[in-house]
Amino acid sequence: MATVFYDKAAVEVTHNGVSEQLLATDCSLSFSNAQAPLYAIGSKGTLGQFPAGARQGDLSFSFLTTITGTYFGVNGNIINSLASGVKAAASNTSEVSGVEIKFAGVSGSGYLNSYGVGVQSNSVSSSSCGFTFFGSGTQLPMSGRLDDFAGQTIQTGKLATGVVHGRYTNLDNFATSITAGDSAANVFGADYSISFNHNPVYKVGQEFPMTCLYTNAQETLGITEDVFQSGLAFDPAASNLTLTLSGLGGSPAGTSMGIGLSGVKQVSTAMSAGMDDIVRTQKNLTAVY
Amino acid sequence: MVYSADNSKLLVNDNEILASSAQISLGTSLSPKYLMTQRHTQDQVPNNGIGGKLSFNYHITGKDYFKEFITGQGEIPFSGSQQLSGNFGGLYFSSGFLTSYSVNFSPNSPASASATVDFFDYARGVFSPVNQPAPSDTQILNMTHATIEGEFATGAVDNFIAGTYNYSSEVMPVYLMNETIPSDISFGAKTVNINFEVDNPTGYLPISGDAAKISVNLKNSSSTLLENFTCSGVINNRNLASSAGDYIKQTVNITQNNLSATEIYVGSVIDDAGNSGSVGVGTTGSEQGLPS
Repeated sequence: MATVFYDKAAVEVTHNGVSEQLLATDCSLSFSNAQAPLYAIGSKGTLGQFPAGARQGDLSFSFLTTITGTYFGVNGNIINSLASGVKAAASNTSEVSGVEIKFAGVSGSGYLNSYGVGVQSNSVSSSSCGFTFFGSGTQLPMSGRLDDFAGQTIQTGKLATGVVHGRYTNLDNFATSITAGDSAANVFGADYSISFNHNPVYKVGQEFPMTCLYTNAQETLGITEDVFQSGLAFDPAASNLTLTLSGLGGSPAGTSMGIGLSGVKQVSTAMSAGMDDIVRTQKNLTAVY
Repeated sequence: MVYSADNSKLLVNDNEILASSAQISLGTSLSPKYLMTQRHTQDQVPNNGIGGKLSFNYHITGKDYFKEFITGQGEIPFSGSQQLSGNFGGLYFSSGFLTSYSVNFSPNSPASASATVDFFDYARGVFSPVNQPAPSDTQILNMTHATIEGEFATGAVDNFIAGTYNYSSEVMPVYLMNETIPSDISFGAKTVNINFEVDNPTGYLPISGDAAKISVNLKNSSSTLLENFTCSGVINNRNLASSAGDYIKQTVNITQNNLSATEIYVGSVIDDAGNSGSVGVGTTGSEQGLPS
């Protein structure tokens, strides 16, 4: 039995030899097999539980949005770079490989299935992501047992200015402008999320997939602001936008974390009021890849 | 009174079948009898014998009982013995014939089969419910443990993804005058085909087909070979399909029309010195190598 305190349970992601420990605030891992009961007519009860699918794992964690460097040409952190790389992979082969993830002594090859970033006024930005572990060939989806993180855990002091903060992140380029009313919105926050679909291909005679294909992605950006217009278009024009996130003290030029959104369309708008607050409006932008 | 599936046991040749579903259907061949000058009639008269079908799906637990009927049914010397009796919840028939049989091969799934037995007689008996617990320690073969072997005259296949094995047989009753139950059964052509999704997209298909053989070995979790399904014939169909969000699926269909497993062959001979080996009749079908 290993009792591991959270300070020894770092989350580390490695891709193509590049590793990063994320400033995870929580992490959960699950491993499951698919047992299905089978029944036969003429008898009461079940014949038993039998495998009906491959074993599969899932891991998700939340982390402080950090700008720790440039990963594969993208500023920010390794998760942001992975998400950017996958959705921009239209001209690449559909066959993808997972990234190595270690958490509290357990490791596996995971496929990024979701990623989200939230930034609000005067708040530290937090991100979240989820991975699915399919395994491959004879390789188990995940292996290892609960134990302390093997190696040096991250020195958080080095990241004091790398944490994305709402104070220094300017989202004015997402503000809604109402020309007839001659008003432009104040932007209070943004919630970005993207989900990726993968298609593991299984064959008879083997539990784990022979390959895994990336298929498509859906991206959503919700902007909280203070203007509302009912003129939501039936077929709005698509645009390309960049969500630029900056760390405490402001990131030097060229070092901000950018999330590019291509072919964005506004799909909804809403407004709501609560006690002791202004009427806040919301617009949702989506993009698909 | 309404009963549940728990109450309807399925027996074929007195063997209890662990069927996940079953149905028995009975039918007459009636047609309206019109007289000249009539556009309406109250009379319907039979124009053929009575008969029915017993269809069921089940999971494969080991050596499959029904597979021997593929090579044996209607073949000398088994023509008189390869009959199937059926009893579904107390409704029974004494003489039926396997007309279709199919096995599904899906990744990581229990091996499952379906069969249809045609009979040309009345279903007798009354529904009599049973109450008994499910058997314990049942072994159900899973396709995770299967191995697939393929031989192709042209091209190569690296991966077999999923498929089905199908058998169909023409079985026709022969009636004598004044009898409603057939006096004999005529067996027509029998066909086996295997349809498999493979990973080598190609459009090569000559007009004469392309010789190929696929053999599926079903094993238990200890990797002991328990059942085998082989189709050795010609590829007569290739299919390439794709849909948004999915991978390209290439399937081949192999059809085999020679299903006799009772070809006589000489195992060895007795030489002049009297050294003898066995000279016998054996099967050359796909059962070879399987435990009896």
